[in-house]
Formats: sequence, C-alpha cells, structure tokens
Amino acid sequence: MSLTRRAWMLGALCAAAPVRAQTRDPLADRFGGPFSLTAANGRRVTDAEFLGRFMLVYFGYTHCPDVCPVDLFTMGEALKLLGAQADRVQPLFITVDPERDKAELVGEYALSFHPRLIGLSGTNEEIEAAVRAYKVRRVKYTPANDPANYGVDHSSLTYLMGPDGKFRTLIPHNTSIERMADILRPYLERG
Amino acid sequence: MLKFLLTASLFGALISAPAQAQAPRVQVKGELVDTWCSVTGIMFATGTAHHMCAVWCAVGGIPVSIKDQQGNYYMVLRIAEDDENASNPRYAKIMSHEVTVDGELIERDGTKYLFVTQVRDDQGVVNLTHDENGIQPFGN
Repeated sequence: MSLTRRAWMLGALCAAAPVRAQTRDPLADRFGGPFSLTAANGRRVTDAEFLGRFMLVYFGYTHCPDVCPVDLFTMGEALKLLGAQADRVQPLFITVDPERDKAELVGEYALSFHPRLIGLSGTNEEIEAAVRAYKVRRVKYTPANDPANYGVDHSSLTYLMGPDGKFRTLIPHNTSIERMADILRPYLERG
Repeated sequence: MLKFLLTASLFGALISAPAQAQAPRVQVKGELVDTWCSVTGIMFATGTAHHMCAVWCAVGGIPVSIKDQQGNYYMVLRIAEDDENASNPRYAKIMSHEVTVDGELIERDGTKYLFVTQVRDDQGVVNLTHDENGIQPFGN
C-alpha cells in the first residue's frame, strides 16, 4: 500500500469518530464574546475571569421601570432555588445606559437582587462592544418634555454561558422562577 | 514519512472539524404577537384589539413570536441579516400581521426559536378583534 493511500486511510480513521461526537450547536457562535468592563470600586472585569464557571448574563439599566426588575428578581430567586448548584454560576448585570449607570450605582443596584450579582458598567464604547457580542439591541428615547428622564429600550433575554465561555441557552423574559431553575439545572449537572 | 504524517493530519483535521449542526428549515404561518402579553394571558392579546400594545412591546424589547393556528409559539430571534435579536423596529411594522415566513428552527429547553430568512407573505392585520375586545390594554 502506498504511503499516500495509507495517509488517506489514517486521516479518515482519525476523522470518523470526532465527526459523530462533535456536532456543533447551531446557536453556539451566535451569542457572546469578550468584554472588558468596570465593576463597583473600579475593578476591571473581563469574561476571562469567569472561565471554568457558568455566566448568567443580563443586559438592562437601573432606571428601567418594568422589564429589568422583573427579570433580575427572577434570576436572583432562581439562583437561590438552585442552592449550592448555583455556586458554579456567576450572575452578571451589564448596563445598556452607561451615561447614568456608573459602576458604583449599577453595582449597588445589582446587589439588591442577589448577593453575588455583579453589576457592570464602562465607557460607551466598552458597553457597545459587549452589546454587539450578545446581539442586544438598545435604543435611547428621550421625551420632548422631560429630556433628563429618558428611557432605553433593550432586549430582554438572559444568556447562559458555559465554563468554556461559550453560549449554552437563552432564557426569555417572563420565564417563571421555577422554570428558570429547571432550565438551568441540567446544564449545571452536565458541567 | 513526514509527507505521510502531514497528509494524514491535514485530512483528519479537515474532516474532524466540528460540523455546524444544520438547523431544520421550516415554513411557519401565523400572527406576529408579543410573547409576554400573549403567553401570560394578562390581556386579550391578538388581532386589531392588541395591535398598539403589540407594537409597544416589540419596540420595547419584549420577545416577538409567531403564533400559528395550532397555538404554537415560534420566538423570532432575527429577521434576515439583522444584527440584533430583539427590540427591532422592523418588527413594529408587521406586529399583529398574519405572515408566512421561511426560517431555521432551533428548539432549546422547550422553546422554539426561529431565525427568519425571509417573510414570504404578509397579509397584514386580518384578525379583527377590536369590536368585541376594545383596544388593549385600556379598553374602549
């Protein structure tokens, strides 16, 4: 048997098993990516810090009148429901309104929902990079009669990222506390 | 021997790269609804009665779904080449419309997600519900 033919056969053998085992998740590359932001007390936080743990990522803002408080409350309570399993999860709240949400404010706000929820802010460019990575939409709207009291429409999905930093699943707005815990549990058990 | 190993490695690497799972392509027909009002039942949430609220919710970032005649929800993550996954003003123009779309279906944790590749047909708002149900959420 020629060397070339043996090479092709060896290559095929090497390849056959992985093809079956490594079917890539069609959602894997659609959400997530690197970020570098600021937590309360000025500490720089990057996604690399959480490698080896799950990240539960939510985008919103402290002046949000409805969607954010509901989703963050749900997140916090679901983590409590998971008990010790939740220790493997780092919840993150990234502001879409860095103009008003400075790191101290967003950090304090986040802690009111869960003692380990880290609130993150940054420059507009840093926030924009994170927003783009997670395909989040944010649109500022300013009432003509009260410009200081503007709102920011934003996407309302919660993202679970795996210990490898890659996307695992989405949790839509209005998911119940119990349902969110039920969604998270098998991912945490699988590791 | 070096050539042999290089050829084998290259061939193996080419074939063993993780295959991108092909999401099934589907065609879905139904009404574009805001998922929050519709799923929770917090108000009457279909057709002309709920059109204004559906637009508000879509623009405000509430996930948008296509609800088919069997009551299945397909949460729209993207339309065509859009970058963002929600709160897209493009949705506002077709909220409450009866549409037929082509797309990729991805099921995850009991939720059906749809990456719409094209809106094949748009019948407009055909579900006339406002006479009976008023204009939601404030009534007549």
